[in-house]
Amino acid sequence: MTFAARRLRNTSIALAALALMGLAVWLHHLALRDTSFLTGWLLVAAFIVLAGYNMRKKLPFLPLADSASWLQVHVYLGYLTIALFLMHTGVKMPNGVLESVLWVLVVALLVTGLFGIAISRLIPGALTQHGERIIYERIPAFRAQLASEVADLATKSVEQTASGTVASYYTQRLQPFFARPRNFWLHLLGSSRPRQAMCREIRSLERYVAKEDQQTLDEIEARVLAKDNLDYQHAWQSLLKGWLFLHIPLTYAAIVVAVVHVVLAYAFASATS
Amino acid sequence: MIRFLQSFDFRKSRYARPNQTWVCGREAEGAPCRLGPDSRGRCRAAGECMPRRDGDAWCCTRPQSAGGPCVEGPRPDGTCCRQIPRCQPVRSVRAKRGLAARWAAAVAVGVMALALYGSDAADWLSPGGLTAHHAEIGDCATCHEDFDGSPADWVRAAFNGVPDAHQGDSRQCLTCHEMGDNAFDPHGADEQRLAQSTEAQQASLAANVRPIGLNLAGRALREPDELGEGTACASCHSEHQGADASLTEMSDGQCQSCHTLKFASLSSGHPPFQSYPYDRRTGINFDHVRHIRKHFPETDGAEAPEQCVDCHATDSAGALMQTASFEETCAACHTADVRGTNAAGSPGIPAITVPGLDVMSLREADAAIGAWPELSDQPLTPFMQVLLANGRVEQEHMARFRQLDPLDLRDAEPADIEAVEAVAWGVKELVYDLISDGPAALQPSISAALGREVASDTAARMLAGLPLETVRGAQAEWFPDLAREVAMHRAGKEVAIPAGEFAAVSEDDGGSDTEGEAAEDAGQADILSGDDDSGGDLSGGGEESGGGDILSGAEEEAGGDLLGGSGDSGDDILGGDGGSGDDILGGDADSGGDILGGGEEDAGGDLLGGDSGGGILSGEEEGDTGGDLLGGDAGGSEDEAKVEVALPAPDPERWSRLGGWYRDYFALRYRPRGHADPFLATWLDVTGAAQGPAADAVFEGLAVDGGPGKCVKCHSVDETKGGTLAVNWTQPRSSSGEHNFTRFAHDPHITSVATEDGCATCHAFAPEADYQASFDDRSAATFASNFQPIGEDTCTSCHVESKAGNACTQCHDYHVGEAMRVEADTRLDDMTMSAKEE
Repeated sequence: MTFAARRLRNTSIALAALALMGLAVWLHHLALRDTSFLTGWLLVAAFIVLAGYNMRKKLPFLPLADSASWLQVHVYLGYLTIALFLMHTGVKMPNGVLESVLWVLVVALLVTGLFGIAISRLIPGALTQHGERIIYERIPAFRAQLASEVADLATKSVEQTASGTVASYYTQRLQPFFARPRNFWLHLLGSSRPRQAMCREIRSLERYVAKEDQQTLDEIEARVLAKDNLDYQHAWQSLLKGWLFLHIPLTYAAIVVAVVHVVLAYAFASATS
Repeated sequence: MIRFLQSFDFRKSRYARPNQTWVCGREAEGAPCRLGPDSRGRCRAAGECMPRRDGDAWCCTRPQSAGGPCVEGPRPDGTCCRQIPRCQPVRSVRAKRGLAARWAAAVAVGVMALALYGSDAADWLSPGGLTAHHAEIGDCATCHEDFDGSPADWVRAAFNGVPDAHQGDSRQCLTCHEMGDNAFDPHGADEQRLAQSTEAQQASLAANVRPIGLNLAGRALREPDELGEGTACASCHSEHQGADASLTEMSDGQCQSCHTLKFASLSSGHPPFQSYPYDRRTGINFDHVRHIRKHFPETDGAEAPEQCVDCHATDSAGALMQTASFEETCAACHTADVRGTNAAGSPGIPAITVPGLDVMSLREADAAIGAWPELSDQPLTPFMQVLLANGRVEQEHMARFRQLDPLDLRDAEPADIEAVEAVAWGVKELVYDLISDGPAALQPSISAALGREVASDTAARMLAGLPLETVRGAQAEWFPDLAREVAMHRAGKEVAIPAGEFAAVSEDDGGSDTEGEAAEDAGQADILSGDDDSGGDLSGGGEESGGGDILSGAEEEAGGDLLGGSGDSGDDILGGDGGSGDDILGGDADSGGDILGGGEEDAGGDLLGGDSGGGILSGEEEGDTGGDLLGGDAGGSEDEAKVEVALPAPDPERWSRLGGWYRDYFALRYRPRGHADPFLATWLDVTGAAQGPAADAVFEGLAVDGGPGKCVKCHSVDETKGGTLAVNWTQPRSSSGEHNFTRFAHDPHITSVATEDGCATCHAFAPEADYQASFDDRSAATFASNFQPIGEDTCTSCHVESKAGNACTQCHDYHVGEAMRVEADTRLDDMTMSAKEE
């Protein structure tokens, strides 16, 4: 199934489900039922399925469909959950403290979810377009490798030319640059200024170094570019992983508050029909 | 120049395990050890490989991805020669995320615990502010019974499910809001009323345009009335939405959710109005068509209204169209009807009477009733039957008495005589008690006869300020020896009827009286006078009832007396009294042209008349008796008679023409004082609300068309569900507290019709309607209005969604019946405590 066909199918199913839910809520409203109970339980069910995706990833041995299918369900059910949430709360902030806390948690959860979907759709392509895609966990090792290589090149330059120009530049600029990830926010903002600045600096050294060191500078520049790509990969992949630091804790917190909310709703709902 | 770093060759690529909880502490430096920490986060670093024994030698096992076997090889003891410095393992990204999630959950649990168990739990847990109406309710338990329990109780309550409205928190609403017996039934109406309404609407609807949503809702979900759980208040009134939220906002669809007939809008599918708004008989019998076409043109132009507003105006709420007061509208023509000025018969109501008895037969039967006025022919009126209740007369005696003709007891059985005796003593004791204890003495009798307690103020209105002197005067006339007789009777002694009562009295008191000596308290003692209260017989010196005496001045029906002056006597030679005519010497009201008429006013030109001027022997000019040549008060000499001027002796009935009590022979009568007379209104209300023969008799006597006061000529009588009768004294008012299904306010509509046909835009006459037939029975549902019903078209010309709106609640109320009241449950002793504390 093509991506477009899959998207069409999933979108159609989601819209049909949304229409059914809307119809059910409307009919309950017409029948003088308290629709918040219907929408509330639908929300609870949706949350269970959405949270089930995380559980599914922790239980890879169970034959419960593949993760990709779960992700599709997670994404489209997430869209439906937004609509359900609006039906439940009436597109307004609740008045009570507890309900407001839950509202903020769920809204944050939904917003982070939307953010996650957005960056999951956008970032991979950008990473590929920017340069070599590196597995996130391997980035430190490659950074260490590049740092080591640049250190070797600086040492070699001193040994070959008895000039300290490259070594001095290494000490002042290259060593800190390769020591750890750099320019995190500038990469997220899409800025290439740090990289260009480093390249200009390396090029500006050409007039001060011996001819033998020209090759060394070229090799250093190649590693600077590779390190810059590592930083880029690190920044965006950190974001890809980092949004879950909000999304998942918010899920747990929202579940706790939602349980209290449901208990209170039923305990004090005897005035309703 | 791009440098590619990543290789997926297994010999060059380290196997990554991102799912592991712990990673090497040197991971961030890019130089993690190959083994990594264990699952509990402990560093396992020892050597770069775990040498393998190969015979007697140890071989390096470092993989290719880590550089392959080292040059040095393992140590002789089999350990790796390249020991890795130990590190402090760190959590993986995934583990950190899991930790954050657990922390978030823990914080949430902590916050929830604070919310549930903290001192401000109510503030934390409240789902929102209350509306301004309920803002003062500070305690959640006021509305939510379970709130006083612990959170564990709340969990239990949550799992117990939602109880129905009859058992749930909706009951708490009723502690303040009085909603009647059917608070949780649809509309708060009883089942019968709803069924009738449903049946009527279903019968009236030909084409039911049922919206699809309501169709689906009806099929998919049980309708609330099918649940049998009652309708909870919060079904419609949603609280905790903030101070400005509306508690009564309802959609049209919700209104129709329970209705068997569902339709799109007022202009599409709404049931026809039928006879709206004339579905109930008007409280006042006022035939608009007849008045406007016939009566008004016959009256003085100044009295006839010219516009609707001359009689009608909206009430203070601008809702109901009210009629101006009787005094402003009807009094000009109908005051005389109320006071009975133009009545053919006596306008006075015989409230207290001395029933006429066959005294001769009673005497022969040795009945012990003491002296009894033999000339009384009064019946035992319904009022008297009421006043003789409560043990004055036993019911069996009263029942037997009703079967008798008390004026003819010749064939009476002993039991009949016993019943007559009981009634006679009942009457005497009634008069005695009335004198000794006042009208309050009658309150128990009234209560007993009506079968319910009659309040003091009601009893006071029922006796309308009966004056002591009137009763005393009556007693003196009726039962002059009452005190002695009652005393003897109560002592258990028999009190025989005096033989030849009036003859004896004459012998005792006036037998030797001359013409001028037979003075009596109320008589004018004219020798030939025939006035009602006068005695003054020529030979009979009795009081008023000198039956059979030659010149007796008897009261009614002293027929056959030679000179008897009686009420309805006719053909008496000297008879004189009201209504008599053509008597030779008759003299009384209305008599005219009598030769010796000694009557009262209107008698003129009598030869010896003692009333009006012009009589030859009259001692007075204007219609006052006394001082006549042959008439005489006690002890008056001829000279004195010539100079004395006696007090007038008016006809009591005429004298009381402005209303009040008066004595008329053997009855104390009450004449209505005017419109809204409290005596009549109270008797009608009290006896209408009571059941029983005595109450019915009084009510029917007063409620008869043309009866005293003519109350029911205009005020219709409704039979209630309980079988009692209610007179419609007042017109419906907005403040009456009655809520109906349909609500209409005149004021907002007046401007819209002012420029067209005015009131006739909606209220067009129906001259062919038999309006008067509506009042032939006592069912409020029997009604033929002399206005044409208002059709839906009249309303839908404006009431569409785009103009004046057509929401259900614009014209309909949900709660019907008595007005919802908010009641404060405040104990007086609590208030006392507060006062003390202060």
